[in-house]
Amino acid sequence: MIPVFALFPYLSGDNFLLQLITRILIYGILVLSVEMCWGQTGIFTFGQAELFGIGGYSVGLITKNSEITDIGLLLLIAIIAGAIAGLIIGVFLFSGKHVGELYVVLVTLAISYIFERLANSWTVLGSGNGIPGIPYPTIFGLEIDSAIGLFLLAFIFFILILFLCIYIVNSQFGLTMNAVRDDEERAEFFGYKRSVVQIVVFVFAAVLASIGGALFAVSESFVSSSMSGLGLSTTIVLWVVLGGRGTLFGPLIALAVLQVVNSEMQNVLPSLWPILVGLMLIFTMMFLPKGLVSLPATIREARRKKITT
Amino acid sequence: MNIFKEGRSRRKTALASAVAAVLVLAACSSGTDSAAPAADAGPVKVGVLTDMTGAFGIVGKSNEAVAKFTINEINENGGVLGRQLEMVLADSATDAAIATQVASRLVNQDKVAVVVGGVASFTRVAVRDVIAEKGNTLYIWPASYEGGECSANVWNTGSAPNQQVDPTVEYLLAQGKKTFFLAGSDYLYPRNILARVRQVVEAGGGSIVGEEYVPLDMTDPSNLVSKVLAANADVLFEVVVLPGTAPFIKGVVDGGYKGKIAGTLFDEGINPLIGAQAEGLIGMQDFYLSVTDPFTQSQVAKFNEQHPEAAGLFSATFNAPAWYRSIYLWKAAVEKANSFDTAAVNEAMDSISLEQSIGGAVSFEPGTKHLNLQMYLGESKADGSNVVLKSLGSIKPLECQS
Repeated sequence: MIPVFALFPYLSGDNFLLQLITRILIYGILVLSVEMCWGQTGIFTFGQAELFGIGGYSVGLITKNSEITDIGLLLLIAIIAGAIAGLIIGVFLFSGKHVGELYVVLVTLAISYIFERLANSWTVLGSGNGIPGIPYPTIFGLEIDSAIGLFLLAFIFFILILFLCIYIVNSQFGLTMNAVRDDEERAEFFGYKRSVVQIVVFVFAAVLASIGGALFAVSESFVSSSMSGLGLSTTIVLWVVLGGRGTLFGPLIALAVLQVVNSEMQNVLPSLWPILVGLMLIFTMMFLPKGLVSLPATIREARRKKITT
Repeated sequence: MNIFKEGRSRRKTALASAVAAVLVLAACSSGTDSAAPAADAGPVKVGVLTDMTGAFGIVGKSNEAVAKFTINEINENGGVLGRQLEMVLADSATDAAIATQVASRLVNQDKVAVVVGGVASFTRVAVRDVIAEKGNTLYIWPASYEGGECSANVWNTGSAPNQQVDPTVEYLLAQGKKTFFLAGSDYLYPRNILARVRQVVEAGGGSIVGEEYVPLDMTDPSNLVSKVLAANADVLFEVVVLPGTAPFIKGVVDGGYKGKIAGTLFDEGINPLIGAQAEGLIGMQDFYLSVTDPFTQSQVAKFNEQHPEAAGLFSATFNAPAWYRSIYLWKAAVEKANSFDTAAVNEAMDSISLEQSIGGAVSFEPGTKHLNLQMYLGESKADGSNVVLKSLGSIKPLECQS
C-alpha cells in the first residue's frame, strides 16, 4: 500500500485523474459484485446495474427530499434498499426448483430493462433526466467537497469490500459457492442447500452493487437511467468476460485498463474506438475464453506444445 | 491447506499488481501537464461536448461541423480579444455517465474557457454541476428543451417551450381547429411540452380529447395509432421522439387521419426520415433552410461548401443555428467584459445580443438566461423540405422569472 499513498500528493493536483480513478474504484465494487455472483457462484446476472441504480437513486431521493448528507447514514439506507431488492429478486429466482443459467440471465435482463424504463418515465425518478445536484456527502458534519476526499472515500470502501470478497472466497463458504457454481446438483447431493447459498450470495452482491451506486451518486453528484440499465449491466459482464471470470482480479484489471484507455481513445479515435473494443471482446472470447489474465498461461501452453512436437 | 495458502499469497501479489496497474495506467493517461495555465498569447480553448457516438451520433456529427465552421470563421476574422480559438471536442456518447467524465476532462485537464454542448437534457443536468458549479466554467446549452434551466454559469441558447408551443397552438386555434389529441414519448421533454400545449389550448377555448405516452424506445405504434384515429381530433400534437417518430406518423397518415399534425421536432433534419407522409406537418423552429434572411442564406451556403461531410445536417432540430449563435454570443460577452474570466463573462452575457445570426437577430432577455428568438411557423412538403408559413418575429422566453 505504501506506493499508493506516495502517489497522493501527485494526484491531488489533478481533478480529472482523481475523478477517473474514483470512478474506476466505484465500478470496481460493481465488478466484484458480478464476480461474486457469476464468477464464484455461477449466477449469471445481467441485473447488477439496476441494483447499482437502486443505491444511487435512494441516495438521490433522500438528499433531494431531506437534509441528510451524512455518508454513513446514506450508505446504510442504500444497503437496506439493495438488500431488500436483492432478497426479493433472489427469493423469486432461486427458492424454487433448480433453474438453468439461461433463466437467470433472462429474468435479470428483464428486471434491468424494467428498471431503466421506470427511471426514464417516472417523475419521482426524474423522467429520464435523473436526479442532478446531489450535495456533497458529510462525515461527522464535515463536508467531503474535494476530489481527493471523494477519491479517498471510494478507495477505502473499495479496499474494504475487496478484502471482504477475498476473505469470503477463501472461506469454507467460498468453497461451497464454487461447488454450487461447478455443479449445482452435486452440491445438493453433498447436503448443501443450493438455494440458500444462491440467495445469500445474490443479496450480498446486491448490497455491494448498491453501495457502489450510492458512492457513484455522491461522487458524481447525479444519478440517471444510464447508470442503471441494460447498457451498464452488459458492460460489467463484458469486463468480467474480458478479465477472466472467476479470477477476482482479472475483471478488476480489465475494468481499469479499459476505463483508462477508453478515456484516451474517446478523444483520439471517437468513432473507431467502440469497434475496436468490440473486436477485442470477440477475439478474447474466441481465443482466450478464460479472459486476458489467462494470456500468459495460454502462451506457456502453446510454447510447451511446440517444444514437445 | 497448502493449496489454500498458496492461493492466498498468489492473490496478494495479484492485488498489489492490480492496484499498481490502475495507478500507473491512470498516471500515464495524464501525460500533459495540466497544471500549466494557458499563456496570455496562446489560443483559447473552447470545449465542444456532443454525442459523437450512440443514439444521437448523427446530431453530434452536425454539431461538430457547425462548431468547426464557427470557430474557423472567428479565427479568420482575428479571433477573440486578439487570441485564436482552439476547439476541444469531447464525445459524450449519448450516456450521462460518460458525459460527466469527458466534461471533467474539458474543465480540469484541458482548462477550456467555455463549454458549449449537450444534445439530450439528461446530458445537460449531468454535466452542469461538473462544468458550471464545481468547475466554475461557463456552460452554454444549445438546444430547444423542456425549460427550467436557471443554474448559475449556465446559458440557454435554444428555444424554450413557450417559444415553440404558444404560436403553433394559437395559429391552429385561429384556423378553427378546436379539438387536440396529445401524444408523446414518456419522459420529461414531451411531458413538459404537452403540458404547455394543454395550457394554451384550454386558455384559447379549445379542448384536449386524448393524451397518450409511449415508451422512449417504442417502434411499434399500432396501439397509439388506433387511439389517435378513434379520437379523430382536429389536431394531433405529437412529441414522439426517434426511433418512433417515423412509424407513428406513417401509421396515422396511412390510416386515413384527416386532421392536422403538429409538433416541435419537424424540420429538414427529421422529415426525410418520415418520408412522403411528412407532407403537411406543422412545426415551429428558430430556423428553416427556406428562411430568406440574406445573412442566413449566405452562411448556410458557406457551411455546405466547407463541410460536405455534414451535408444536409444543418437543421434546427440538430441545434445547428443554436450552436452557431452560442459561440458568437460568448465571443460578444468576452469582448464586452474584455476578459475570459468566468465571472466577468457571466455578468456581460445577460445583456448580449447579435444583430445577425443564422435564423435572425437574437438577444438575451435580461434576467432570464434565455434568448429572445426569431421564430418561424413551417409546413413540411412531401420531399422533406419546409416552407415558412409565417415569420413570427422575436418571441420572448418565459423562463427563470422570479
